[in-house]
Amino acid sequence: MRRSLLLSCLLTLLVWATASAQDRQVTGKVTSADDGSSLPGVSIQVKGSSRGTQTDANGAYTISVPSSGGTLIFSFIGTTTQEVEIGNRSTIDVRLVNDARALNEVVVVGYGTQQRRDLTGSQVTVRGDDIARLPVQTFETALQGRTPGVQITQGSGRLGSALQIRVRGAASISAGNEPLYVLDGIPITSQDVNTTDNELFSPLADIDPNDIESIEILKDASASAIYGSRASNGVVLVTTKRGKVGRTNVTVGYYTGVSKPTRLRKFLNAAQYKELFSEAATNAGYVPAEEFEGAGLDLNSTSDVNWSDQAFQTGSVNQANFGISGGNEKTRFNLSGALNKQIGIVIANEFKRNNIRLNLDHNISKKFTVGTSLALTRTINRKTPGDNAFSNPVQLNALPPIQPIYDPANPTQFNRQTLYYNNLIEVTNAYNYANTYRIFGNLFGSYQVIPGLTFRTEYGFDFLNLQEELYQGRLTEDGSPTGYGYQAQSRALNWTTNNTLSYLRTFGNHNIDLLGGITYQEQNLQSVTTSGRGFPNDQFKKLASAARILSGSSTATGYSILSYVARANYKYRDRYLLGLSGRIDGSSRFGANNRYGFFPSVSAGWVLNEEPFIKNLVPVLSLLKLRASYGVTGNSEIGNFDSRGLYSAIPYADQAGIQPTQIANPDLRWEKSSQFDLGLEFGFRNNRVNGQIDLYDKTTNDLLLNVPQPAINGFTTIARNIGSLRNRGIEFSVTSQNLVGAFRWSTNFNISFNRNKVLRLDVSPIRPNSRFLSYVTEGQPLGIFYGKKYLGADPANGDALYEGPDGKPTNDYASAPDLYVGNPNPDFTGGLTNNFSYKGFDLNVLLQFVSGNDIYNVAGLFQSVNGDYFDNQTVDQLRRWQKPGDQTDIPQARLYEGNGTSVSSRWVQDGSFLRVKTVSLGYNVPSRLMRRVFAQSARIYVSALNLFTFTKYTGYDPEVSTQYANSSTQTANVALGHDFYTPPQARTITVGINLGF
Amino acid sequence: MTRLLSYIFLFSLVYLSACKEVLEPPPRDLRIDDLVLKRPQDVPAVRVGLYSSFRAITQYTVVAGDFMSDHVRYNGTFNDYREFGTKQVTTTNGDVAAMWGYIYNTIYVANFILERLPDLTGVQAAAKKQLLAEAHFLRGLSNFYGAYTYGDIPKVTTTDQETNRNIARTAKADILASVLADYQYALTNLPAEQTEGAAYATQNTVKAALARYYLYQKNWALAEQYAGQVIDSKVYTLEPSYETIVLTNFPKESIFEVGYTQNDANSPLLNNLLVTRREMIPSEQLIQALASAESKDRISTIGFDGTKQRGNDNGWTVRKYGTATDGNSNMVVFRLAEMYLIRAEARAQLGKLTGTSGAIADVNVLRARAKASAAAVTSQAELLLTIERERQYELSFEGHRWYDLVRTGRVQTVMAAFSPNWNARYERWPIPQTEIQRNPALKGAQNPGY
Repeated sequence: MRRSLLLSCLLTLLVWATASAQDRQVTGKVTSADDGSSLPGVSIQVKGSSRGTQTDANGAYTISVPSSGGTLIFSFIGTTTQEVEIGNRSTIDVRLVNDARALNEVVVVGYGTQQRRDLTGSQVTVRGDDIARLPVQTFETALQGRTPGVQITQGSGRLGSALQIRVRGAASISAGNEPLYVLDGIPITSQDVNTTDNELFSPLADIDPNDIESIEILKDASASAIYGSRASNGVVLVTTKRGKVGRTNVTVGYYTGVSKPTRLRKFLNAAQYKELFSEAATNAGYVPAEEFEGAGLDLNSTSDVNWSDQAFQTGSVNQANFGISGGNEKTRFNLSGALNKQIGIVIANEFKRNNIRLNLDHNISKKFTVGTSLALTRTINRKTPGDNAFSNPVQLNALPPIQPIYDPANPTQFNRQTLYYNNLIEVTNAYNYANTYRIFGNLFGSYQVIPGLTFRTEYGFDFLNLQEELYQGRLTEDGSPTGYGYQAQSRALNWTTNNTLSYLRTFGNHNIDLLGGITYQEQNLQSVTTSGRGFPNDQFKKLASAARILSGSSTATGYSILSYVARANYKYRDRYLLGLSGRIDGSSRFGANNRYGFFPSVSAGWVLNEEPFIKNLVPVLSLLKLRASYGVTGNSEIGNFDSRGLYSAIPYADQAGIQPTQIANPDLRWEKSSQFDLGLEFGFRNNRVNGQIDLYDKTTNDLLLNVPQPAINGFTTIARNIGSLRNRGIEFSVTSQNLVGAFRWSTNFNISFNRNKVLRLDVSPIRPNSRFLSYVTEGQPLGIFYGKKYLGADPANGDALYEGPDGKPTNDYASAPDLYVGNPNPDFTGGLTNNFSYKGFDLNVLLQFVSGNDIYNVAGLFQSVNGDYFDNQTVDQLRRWQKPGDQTDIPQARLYEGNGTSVSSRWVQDGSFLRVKTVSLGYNVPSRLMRRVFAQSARIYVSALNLFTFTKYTGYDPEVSTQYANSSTQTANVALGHDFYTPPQARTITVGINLGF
Repeated sequence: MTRLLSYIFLFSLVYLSACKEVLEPPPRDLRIDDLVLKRPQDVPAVRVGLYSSFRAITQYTVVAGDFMSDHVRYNGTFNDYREFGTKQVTTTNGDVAAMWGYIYNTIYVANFILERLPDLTGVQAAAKKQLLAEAHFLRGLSNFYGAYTYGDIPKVTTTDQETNRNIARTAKADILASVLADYQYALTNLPAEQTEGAAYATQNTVKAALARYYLYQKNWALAEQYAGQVIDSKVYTLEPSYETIVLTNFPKESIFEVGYTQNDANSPLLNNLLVTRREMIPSEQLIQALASAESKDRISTIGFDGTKQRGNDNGWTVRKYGTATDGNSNMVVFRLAEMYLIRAEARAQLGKLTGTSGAIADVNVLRARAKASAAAVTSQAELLLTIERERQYELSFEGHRWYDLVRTGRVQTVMAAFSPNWNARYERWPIPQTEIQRNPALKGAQNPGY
């Protein structure tokens, strides 16, 4: 209903827009300046009016123009836009020049904009168009494979699940490692505030990817130091679309599609199960039937259930969106909105988002501009339980195939006598909704005091309200016997004010660009939770109906940052560039003795191709720029009150007391990263081939660690700044317009190498969880796999073997030393994009690759242990040792005997993969057809996300990072590449249409 | 217009730079160290906090007293409890480190009070005297547990972090001397009675602690005297039904019981281990003992559920520790029954076996309450074994068995029969390995055998 209202509204608009008078016709042909071929699909518009058309398959066009003439604007992807005076000509042929857009484009930088060719820092740009129509929940997902130096990992296939983003490697062990997100100049909440589980969901899912004009990821210190104590992990600047002077553009789009898991894992069927476990029982000296019975299993069962598949379903995606933008010299606007609904590949997982945004700019006078951005979003996520919950559907794969899904005595009910919880019960008897209401608001005014000198003041807020509603019915494991309900309200309010003065001036050969300002930000987080039990029946789900309120609590926390920013850029003869920037950050998180920190950077660039000796020597060179930068940034993603000595309330025998919980460290401060970057940018043949190489070295000192101290101090740890960590690496990217003209083909390739090393720890090596192999120790990369080295089965007797202290195999697990057994950090990551277009058809293929990383499947401890307990086993366990002489990696099956079941490298595998990340085929319907339905343009497309994955990993999906590890920030930072009943990603195929009016 | 803007700009400059306090938001749920015990109003809250710190130790007295003994069978997945269940305790055991940490955390809070409270003005003299005495008492009791669990331990008398990073072990006898000094200070300064019930200490609480202290010291006369004083005070009476002790908080015979609150976010450790996870279940030996005619009603300490019986699991569960909302989550530190048992043992050792002031009479008080067969007159040695069994029936899962066997010298005999892995080193817990790594003065000072 809502959708049809929207459409009729749009139709009204477009009738109005096309009803203006037509005076005379202009015809012509558009060709490529490079090879003279005709260009179909070029958009042609009469400047300042709503009239427009497109070239046909032969590059020809006809357009009606006012009799007085005017100006025609010719624009086409990959070429420069050309404006042509009509005069009184009736035929206008145009040759469009290939765009050297990397050169003159204006890019967003911290607190301002700059021309790309003048940049002395390292930053990567992704255009909104490239990511707008992908069926993802959160825009970071769409950046995968496109961003050299930025590793983006989607840890799980749950809808809206948070991604792990590492800009030039992980720079911290205990503090946050995620970049700072800045939306239209305002830092926003980017970490989940949920209260129900460790599984993190991305609050960035509240931003509609369609609204994004561009994304800039600031990587080196020169680009990011202006964000000071929050810049060590990189900064992501998201800019939304704003209106432009010109006709009103109306677009509507719709896509729909289906999704399936990328990969599934194979488990034993009933016959194999009976065989393996009977053998295991016999080998351990038991009677199989008795042991089956002891575990509640029936050896004679006729059931053969593929439990693993029960966790998954065919999901779907649907999105409808609209955008209206335009304006005149005085006022410009961009209004957009979307409805998005997705049904996950994991059962009972759903995601919905409704959003609208209005961006408005108005010139009060020539000198005075004001504007606002306002976006409202409602996101509803029906969450599926976390990896480490018996109710996680993926854990169904542990159930024996010989147990039926439904109760044999009552086939309308689920079988509740299964080995572990039959969590299919949860689909209809439980839910956990995370309902987010989000407002991003921003108000600014800018005033030109004298020519070149501009004052800008900005006030912005990000209001996030998360309502969690959980109910577990009486049939569920946690809700039994009378139902369990839980409600939470969390509110994160972030408000910021930025006040800057900027000065831009050219004196002869000298260009200067100065900026100074003050900014202040405050964050305030509150939450209220209540839970109850004892509901009359499962129709009553609100806590008002609970017989007993179990708990009720409220908490609040917050921090504030007061900062002074400054930047100076100087350019001489368009060739020599110098940049200085700095920020002073005062943060409430820092200790009293270190309240303010200074974060400076210096950078320089040399545009070599402007030098006459290069210009003459290598004329094909259109760009050759050498740049270098050095600077210091901080990471203040530490606890809000880590520096204080704290007392907490503690109840005792129904009275409230206070108890010391933390020792003060007034010296506590941010973690400090010093980064050196050396970059080379190049372009040939008017930038038909262009690219860049960056080398960097980022060393983080003063790492915040909980330093253990003797317990006789009364406390076992104290937070101190003592560790040190280094990331260094190389990033390379190249873009080439291979073919221009009617058949166009362009390629982008990028690859990044990062090497991470813990230089100094000063505390005992960190082992975050005894089930994990992750380890942090001096001289090694963060989170290497360190543990007993598994060597397969002893051919003589089927015992599990490990590398012993003398380097020889031993069956004595306890005596085997811990050894380096893998590294979850990839050797290199990257992407390859190819774009083809011909006569209105376009094809885009993006490949993503990650190589050299290892994965440890923690679930192997249960599902791949040669029948040690009755958990269903992966099919590879059938390779078990059976008789002397057998050469195999799977030990003899022995029920309960723990033969090879302890934590070891047994479940470590190479996690390298190559993924056909996106394939999109589109067709632009010729405009003369479209005009009949009053439309300007139409594109029909079919696209696929995660189409194919090539890997040697035998688990679900090689792109994995279990959120079971999220018990603390440190564990999440360290436990990399661990898989634990984690759902795979979705492979999604969509078809869609975009109409422009 | 220009003027308006300059005003805005100036205002924001002044506003933002003038307010340094914007960087000092107060922690909302927490109080800052420097603010605590600076005002008289803090005294009650800090006092409650002291008891709450001590409460954390008591959970581990059961881990040491019962899990180390022949009372349990391992039935879980956690390695720490596998170590206790199979009698293979290592220096890296998490609970060994946890109890150590809670002992010293309580000592820290007690020292903090002892350092700061004397100088705090505006506090009523009686309240000040009482809290100082309570700090002495709980510091003494913490050190008592420390010395009998770990042997020689560092003696911490200050909150100064630098001093406390490097303290060597002090002889057990010296620690126990300091315990006695703390007890005696508390006995002099605590009120004879108060209205807050068994959750807070009185002179009688200290006397109960002294009775146990002298029992452990084999000073039979003083043990008999203090236990007798507590019994004769008539403040405490035996519950008619043993099950009341198992299933309720603050039974009438509680002398000192540390309490939980309905709102305690996490269910206490023992409920989780014994009921939710059933990491530890009663051993066959204990089940047989509790089911005997001598024990009778004390079988209610444990309960049987046939649906849980499978494989290694005998289906029995300890019932003494529920969740906070179940109403039996508290930890009993001293109760009247223990006083009868202390007096009985002291009298038996002194040769007073029969008659109204004889050991057998005390034992039979408990037998009668449990509706069990009365104890008969036997030899002194037989009677001491009867008392040992009686302590098992009455006090199982209250943190006594291992300490009792060690102090009577019977541990080797009893435990070697129970587990092939038993070793003489298990008469003490190891010093936690992390503690030896972090405190230079403890280098090379591990307990023998570990």
